[in-house]
Amino acid sequence: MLWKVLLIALLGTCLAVYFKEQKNVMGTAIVIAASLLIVFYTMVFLSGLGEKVKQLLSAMGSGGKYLMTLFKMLGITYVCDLTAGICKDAGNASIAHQLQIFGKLLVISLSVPILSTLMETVSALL
Amino acid sequence: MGVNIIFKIAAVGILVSVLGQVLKHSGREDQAFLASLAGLILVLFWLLPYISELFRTIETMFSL
Repeated sequence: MLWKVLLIALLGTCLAVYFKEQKNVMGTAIVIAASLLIVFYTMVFLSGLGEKVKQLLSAMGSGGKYLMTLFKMLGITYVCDLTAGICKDAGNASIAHQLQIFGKLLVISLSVPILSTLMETVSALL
Repeated sequence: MGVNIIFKIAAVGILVSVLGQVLKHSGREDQAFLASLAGLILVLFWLLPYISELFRTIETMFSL
């Protein structure tokens, strides 16, 4: 599985460079296809991990839902970074930059409820 | 699924560029442009199921 991913990456790079040399649009298509395949392979072995982590979280009781948002943040950053990388490869770094800013703000917006509960517990303690 | 989609896209790219060159040299620039556009749209149609399937798995995986 590892070797297949390495092969896809190298192959995609060579073909993308070849097509970008000719100012051909297919270069970006190949970059998208290669990165999608690699993400698909990471998803294949991550899915097993995902189920175990979810069981662990549910066994942990109350703390579980905060870790679920942590998991969600992980997904958001992963997808935003993937797409921003593809956009940067295609040459328009501004779109990639906007996408990264959007991802960061989305993650921050996700963390607001957790912060509020933290504030309540701290104020309750004091 | 796998490496062959990259080969398919590369094949379409090469064929379309050759077709475009032939059309350009025979004086039909607009048809060359249309041919490359058609090739691009065909490739995007191939990529769409992969993209949607991938985002479904990511969605279920991270419960977004």
